[in-house]
Amino acid sequence: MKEPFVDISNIITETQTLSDLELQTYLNSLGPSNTFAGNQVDAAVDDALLAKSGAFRDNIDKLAAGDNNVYNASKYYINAWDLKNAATTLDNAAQASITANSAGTNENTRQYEINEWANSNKLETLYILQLILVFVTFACVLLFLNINGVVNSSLFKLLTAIVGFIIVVIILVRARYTSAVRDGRYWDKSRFPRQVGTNG
Amino acid sequence: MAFCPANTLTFDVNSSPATGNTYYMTSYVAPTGTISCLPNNGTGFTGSSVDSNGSVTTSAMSAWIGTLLSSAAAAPTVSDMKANSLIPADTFKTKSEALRNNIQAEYCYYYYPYQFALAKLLTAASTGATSTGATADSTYTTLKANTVILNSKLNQILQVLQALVVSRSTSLTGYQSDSALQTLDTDISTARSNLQSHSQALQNKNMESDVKSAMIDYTVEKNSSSRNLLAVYGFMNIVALGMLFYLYRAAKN
Repeated sequence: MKEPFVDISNIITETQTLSDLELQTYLNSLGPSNTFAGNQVDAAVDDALLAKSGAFRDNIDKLAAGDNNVYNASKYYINAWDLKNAATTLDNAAQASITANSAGTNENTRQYEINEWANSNKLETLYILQLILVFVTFACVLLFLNINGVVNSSLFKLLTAIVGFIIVVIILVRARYTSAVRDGRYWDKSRFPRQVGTNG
Repeated sequence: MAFCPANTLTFDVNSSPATGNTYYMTSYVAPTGTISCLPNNGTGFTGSSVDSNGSVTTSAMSAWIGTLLSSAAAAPTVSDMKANSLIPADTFKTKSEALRNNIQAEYCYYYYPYQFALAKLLTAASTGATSTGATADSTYTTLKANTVILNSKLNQILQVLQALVVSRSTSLTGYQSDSALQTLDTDISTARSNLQSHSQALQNKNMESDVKSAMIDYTVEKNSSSRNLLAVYGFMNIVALGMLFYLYRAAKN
């Protein structure tokens, strides 16, 4: 059957409508591509920030290390300065101690010399006492013999006088030697008059 | 980011943002008593100081680092170290830490706006919202320019950091070559050797002193012995004289 009449304008309108719907459907099909683009943007932003953050973190750590190094260097210097001062103070104390010790050693040495001299002087006195004892004992023996008539009075006096004289001479010689010749510091050292032509 | 506190701001591209939002191009304001780590009150290096690659020229950076360290009082000199006190070192430690914290705060301040702007810019680029017809979209153009500014600020902060690291290294090298420090090392060595020699001498002196003390003790003993002998001989002489006197009296009778 042949259609009596066809409205061409309606056909065109319907065709356009269908075409728009198809286009709309097609455009809707592009949705996943937009999601892909959004994901790519996030990745790009993350990458850019990650690089920047890494550089910042690296440099801030280096700066902190540098600051610590400078601080430690400062402390090292100050500690070294203190160490030097302490060592110098300690050294001065050691030097003073050495000086004091030297003075003490000198005092000890002098005390030793004094003691030695005093002891030798005592021995000298002892020697004199021994001489006197010998003389008195000798006189006692002679007197005893004289009383018993073994030795006459003249011989007793003569021998006593001779021995007494010898002992007195010995005592005088020793006394003079000690006072005039013997060194005041060392008992066994003699002092001699300065020789002509020398600086001694 | 671990080195930046979590972002709590909501950024807005409008210079008059909605309530509760923050305009993403708001400039950093340094806390009272501190200065921005970027020159020109935080706006960054001027165009003449930056080359086409975005690198700050050496002279401009050196001048700014000097100013920054001086303002932050975070530049210890050798003379500070010679102050014979830990105070300059401790002050430097505090100030340098504050400077690092300020730089980090400023970096973090621009970090999140940059993240926001970059994401906006790339989103706009990916969605084709870069132009309106034949002409470029003004919002996109502004966003792009502002993103470049934020990126430039972050890069300049990084370059300032790098220059500070170099500055610290230079300071350490300077300390090593300082004559006063070298003299100090020599002084310490000298004091050490003096101490050693004096310690040795002191030990020797102590030994000598001990020997002398022993000799004194010996002479004291000798004197004591001689004194006893004198007493004995004195007594014997008295007895002998008494005997002599007795015999003399006997002879008389």
